Amino acid sequence: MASINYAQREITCKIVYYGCALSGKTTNLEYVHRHVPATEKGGLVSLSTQGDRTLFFDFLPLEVQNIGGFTAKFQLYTVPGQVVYNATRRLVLRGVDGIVFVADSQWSRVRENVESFQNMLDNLGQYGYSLDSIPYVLEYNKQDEPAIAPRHYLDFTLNRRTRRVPVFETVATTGEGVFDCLNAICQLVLARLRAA
Amino acid sequence: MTIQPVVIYEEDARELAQRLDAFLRASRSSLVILIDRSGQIIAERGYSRKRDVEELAALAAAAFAATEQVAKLIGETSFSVLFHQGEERNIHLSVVGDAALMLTTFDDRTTLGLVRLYAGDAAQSLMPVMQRIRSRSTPPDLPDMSGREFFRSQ
Repeated sequence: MASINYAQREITCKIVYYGCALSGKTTNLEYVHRHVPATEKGGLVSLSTQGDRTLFFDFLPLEVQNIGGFTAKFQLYTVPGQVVYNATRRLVLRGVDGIVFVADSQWSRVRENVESFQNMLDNLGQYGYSLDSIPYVLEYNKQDEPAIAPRHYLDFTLNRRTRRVPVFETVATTGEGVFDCLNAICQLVLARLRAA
Repeated sequence: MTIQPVVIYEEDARELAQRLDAFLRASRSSLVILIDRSGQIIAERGYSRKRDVEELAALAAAAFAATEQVAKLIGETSFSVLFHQGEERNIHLSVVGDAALMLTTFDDRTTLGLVRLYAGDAAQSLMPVMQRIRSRSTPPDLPDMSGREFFRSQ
């Protein structure tokens, strides 16, 4: 849930990276953490298993100063993608202000993407939230893989709601498109706050 | 449903600080953080390293949310208090109404009993301010940040 603190001149927002297992959510945060200046970031907290799979969430606080006299703070979270961790995925969505849905672009993962998207809708619904009122963007990740579904097909499966949302084709391992996607969701979240 | 932001004005921040300072003095704790259930900091008092506090708040809110689910599995609606005991420092986490949590860190200069006692009083005193804050809608004078590039890869 966003907070606007006039005493400290701070705006804080929560952005969640959602998607199926191994789609690259944690890799997004790791890339951002490695490539933003130290003055703009806190530590990357990863609650993962011994096998480096996300158990609860990853957390990365970012901030930008002097945005119209405010400091804008963005708290980035990932959810665990594995099906078995649905209860923790739901907890991470509590108070979410913006979502990056990270899809795996490979043909072989189309079904998992669709199921994960539906799972996100269901989990949002548990809090009474709806994607109609929460800013979100789509990230078609792993564009460097050899057998990827074409953009129009991924759009057909994931970007078919009444409101079409921005799409970013990314390679999170090399950072291609990662910052474009991050900046877009930050803009959308703040625009929504301003219009609320 | 639109998720309403929390809006904190100077007067709110001052009142929260006064109440949290009073709690720190009475309980002889070192740090207290008022946290929204989604993990964001509403107010903090006492000694801290700024960035660590954000991580602390996010993790504490998550731990509390997970424990709440555990409570439901055994037929409780919630656990109202969480306590983590360390070698030198301890953490006490308690609810402030249904929307916020109060995280307190303390060491051997005080006792769990004292912290618990005053945490209950503090929660009561914070609730009217929290209700006021949560009942507001977004003010219109936020800066226009459209088209802005916030982060750049370095």
